[in-house]
Amino acid sequence: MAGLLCFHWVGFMKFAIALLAGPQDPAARSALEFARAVLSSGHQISHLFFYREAVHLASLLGVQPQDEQDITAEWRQFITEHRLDAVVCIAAALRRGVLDKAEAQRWERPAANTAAPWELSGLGQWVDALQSADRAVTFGT
Amino acid sequence: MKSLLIISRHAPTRHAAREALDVALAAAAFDVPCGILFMDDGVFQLMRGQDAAQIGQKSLAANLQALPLFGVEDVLVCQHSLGERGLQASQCLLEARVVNNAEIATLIEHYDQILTL
Amino acid sequence: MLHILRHSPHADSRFASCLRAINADQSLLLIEDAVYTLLPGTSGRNALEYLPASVSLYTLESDLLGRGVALDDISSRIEVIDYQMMVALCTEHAKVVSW
Repeated sequence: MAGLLCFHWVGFMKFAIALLAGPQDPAARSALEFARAVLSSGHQISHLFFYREAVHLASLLGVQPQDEQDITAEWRQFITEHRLDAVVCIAAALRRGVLDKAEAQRWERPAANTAAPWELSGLGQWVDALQSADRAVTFGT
Repeated sequence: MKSLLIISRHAPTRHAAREALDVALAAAAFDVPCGILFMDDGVFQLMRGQDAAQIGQKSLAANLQALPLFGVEDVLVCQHSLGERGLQASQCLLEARVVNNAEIATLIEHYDQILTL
Repeated sequence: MLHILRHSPHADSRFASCLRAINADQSLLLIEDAVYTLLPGTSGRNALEYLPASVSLYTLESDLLGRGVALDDISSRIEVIDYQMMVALCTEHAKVVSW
């Protein structure tokens, strides 16, 4: 038993996961299933980074038909439940109309559509994540 | 520091092309040893004579030319992709090292991390 | 090194680009629409068969089933895995390249 635990500890890794495709792309689901499997395998997710169309996952305004799965809600729930760092590229988000309260005010837009657990920040966060993670995996290329 | 190779494979008219360059420039700004490989339609970014304003776009040329200045060490272009598209390295607007398939496989081995953008 | 392909070989040049960049002793995992590569009688599948025997091939079961690609039609070279095994593959390979 001690041996098993020890083996497990040695194998523990920090994953940085990036998603580049939006909620309408199958990659949004693949990345989530992978992220769930990372945690259930006993590894850690050090960073999640959302770039390109993936910034739309951070929008709180999407409405899905009732008989379809709501991938944005699932992501939000997953991030909240596991208290993960979920960084949305701020430049990509602004271009696509995904704004938190501070950005909506700064750019004088009528509404904000994202909030915690999502965090708008720069590409530097991803660069950092790539440096510190043991494994970096990108979805939605 | 872990080195990073960006594989840029979108035509210059695609916003994705600009976003790939942004990642390369951000990595270089953080002193990450960084290279960029233009592959597939990405090689179109290097064509001379683009007048992006004609189609209501901002030219990528400034960002491309900033790559070496900002410390993106390796600027590479895929020989196969150029050939498939009827282009030659001498037509490129940037000094890019032409690499064949075997060299690309070696590059991917050599860099610590690869991002296909 | 683990290469991950997600695009249909019919829609995108990434399939060809990835195959040109793959070396012996590396691994290739087909996910999402890349599982269509596994359909019998296609040029994509033939291209996979021509990869050196030292290249390990994997695919995700849920992506196959979700797209109606029958497990029986898959070449015996391909190992069918789930997400947990995909995570394990990522830990076993020093580098993961998504095409």
